[in-house]
Amino acid sequence: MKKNYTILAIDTSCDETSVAVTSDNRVLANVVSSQVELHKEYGGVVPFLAKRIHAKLITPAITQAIKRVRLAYAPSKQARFVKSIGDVDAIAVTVGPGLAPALEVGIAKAKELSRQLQKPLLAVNHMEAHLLSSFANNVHGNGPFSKSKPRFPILGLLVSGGHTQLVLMKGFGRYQLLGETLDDAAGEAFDKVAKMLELGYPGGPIISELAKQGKPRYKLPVPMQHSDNLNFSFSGLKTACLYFLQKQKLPFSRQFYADFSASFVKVMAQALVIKLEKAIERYTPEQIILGGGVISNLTIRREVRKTAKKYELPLFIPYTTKLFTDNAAMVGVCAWYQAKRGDFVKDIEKLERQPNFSF
Amino acid sequence: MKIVDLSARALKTAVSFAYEIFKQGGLVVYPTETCYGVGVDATNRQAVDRLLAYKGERGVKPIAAAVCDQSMAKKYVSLNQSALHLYRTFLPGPLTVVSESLGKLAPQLEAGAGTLGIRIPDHPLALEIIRRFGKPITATSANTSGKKPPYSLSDLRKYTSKKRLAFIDLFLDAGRLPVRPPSTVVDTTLNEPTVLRQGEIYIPQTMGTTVVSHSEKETQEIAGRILERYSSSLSLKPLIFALQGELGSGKTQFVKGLAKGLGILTMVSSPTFVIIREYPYQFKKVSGLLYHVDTWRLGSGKELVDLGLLEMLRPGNIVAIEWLQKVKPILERLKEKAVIVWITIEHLSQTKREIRFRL
Repeated sequence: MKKNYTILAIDTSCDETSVAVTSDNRVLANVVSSQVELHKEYGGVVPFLAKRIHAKLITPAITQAIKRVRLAYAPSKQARFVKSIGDVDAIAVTVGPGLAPALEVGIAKAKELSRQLQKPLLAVNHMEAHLLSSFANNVHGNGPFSKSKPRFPILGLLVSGGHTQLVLMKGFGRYQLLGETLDDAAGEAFDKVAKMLELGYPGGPIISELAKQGKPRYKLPVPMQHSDNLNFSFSGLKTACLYFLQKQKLPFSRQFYADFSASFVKVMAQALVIKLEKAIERYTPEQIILGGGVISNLTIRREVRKTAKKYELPLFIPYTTKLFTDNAAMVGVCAWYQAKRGDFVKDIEKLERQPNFSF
Repeated sequence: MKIVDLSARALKTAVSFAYEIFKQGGLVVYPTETCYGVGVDATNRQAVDRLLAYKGERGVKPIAAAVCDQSMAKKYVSLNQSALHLYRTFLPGPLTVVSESLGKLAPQLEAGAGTLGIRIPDHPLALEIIRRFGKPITATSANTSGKKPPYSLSDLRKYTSKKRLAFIDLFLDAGRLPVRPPSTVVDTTLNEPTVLRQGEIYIPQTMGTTVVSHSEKETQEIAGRILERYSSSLSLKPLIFALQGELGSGKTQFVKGLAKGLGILTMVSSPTFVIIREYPYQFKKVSGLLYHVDTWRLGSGKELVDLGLLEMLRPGNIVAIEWLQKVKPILERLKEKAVIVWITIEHLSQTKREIRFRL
């Protein structure tokens, strides 16, 4: 495999239209045309026009990504190979899991580019990309794994708006799903509880902020703490919050918002850590990696760090928060590992979305 | 034919005359709130044979039984939630409620499927003769087959041959009755009350069947049973489950139950973040996709159309929609294209849920 293998990566798995350019596992550009700003204009109600927005944004996002590589890194030797889109070595695209009509927009564009530019195509599992987001390095080649080598098996905890998974990584391309949510994802529970508190959308980050100012003085049930498997469940916690809030006097005080948020986050972190510890004891991994938007939450990260320390395991977290939430850079990095093992799309015409893709 | 003029005679006398004739297996014509009816002891096979001989050739049409109250009805049919609701709301009155027969009346009265129509006439004399007799009597209009229902003695004489009139042992003459259409006949043994014959009473369409679930598991089982009931025409028309219910009421549990019923092995988790999840299935020789849709994050129902709602509506496909309020007006317009089952789930307590469903 040649050095400085460059990939143009596309991710349109749900809300975000994202295009990145990577060189090996280095991120040269990572454009995320986040729709969250757009959401806010509608006063908390979320207009979901992803398909149309993806279709509208994908070409500008590609142009933007290429331009960023050229402008920002032109002097750097990392990027000198990508002056225009035709200079990339391969195209990568997320094929699932995700929202089918949104995925289709990205896949159609990737196929078109692959044909037009005569470049090989890589089909990426969005969750594998989240898992490998800790392997991404910045343009200078620095990242969590730039100084320490991966030692397998690695235990991955992925916590996002749409997923909550524990994955055992035995090597690149060799994964075992150990547990996942039976109902709501962790990030979804954040947003739904925020909705109960009428904090707007997306409410998860607001709860995380409020939690910093409060004390976890309210007792909420820790979901699945007594179950023997490695699955998660957050719908029971959601219902418990609903009943708890119904019993409280309105209007809520500022302190109540903060304390309740802190209590909620604490229980969330406990639920995640309990299963993480169970998985560590059962599968004795060498390292731990984290991925997904919800790991932006500091309490959750702190609790996971404590666990890692307790078991004397090194913990790896992506070098930038931009790699936590949905983005195409992780797709490019994941695709590079796929390219190294020759995992290219064989028949481009037959490539289809896989909305239920899993490990 | 003995004629008792009720304007001249005391009610008591009329009642004891009727009692004697019922006991002997004879035919009594009696007034009801609709037309004159003809009654025999509904538990006496020979008496019912005589009644059928009087009525003449009438195909396989079953004959309803009249009782004086709900507790008498309960001895002969099993009353489910919808039947009880109809009894409470409309009886006594011009409504025949078809329920599952307990097999204690003359078998000629039952319809093929072991069902029996029961009615409580809203007429004091009719109720009194049944109460005195202590058993149900037949409740069919006093005309012979193919003739007009009689509202007076002279009507009956005009339309009935002498030979047939000879079958009648007693005519309880309450003069000319106001002309009202025959009773509405409603079958409650089906998935939801189905009007078999429209009379004066209109059964509101908002009524449905109600069941109570005590656990998430039971909610799943109920979903499976509901699926079973409505899936008969799945190969011809798509099926939509329109789910209404607050946060945490168990809508996702319901869809898990549908998936289980369809033999889907993939984990069905909340589609809130990704909006649409799809699962291929094969069920009773039908194969298709189960779409699990959550409009919680959508701004308007129209966005679901943008996301391909109409394309999902192919024969064999099942679309389960959570938070349907936003798409309700759109669904109303799709009535021709799909079988729509409306499901409402309500919190009764922490674990108890009321599940209502209707077409």
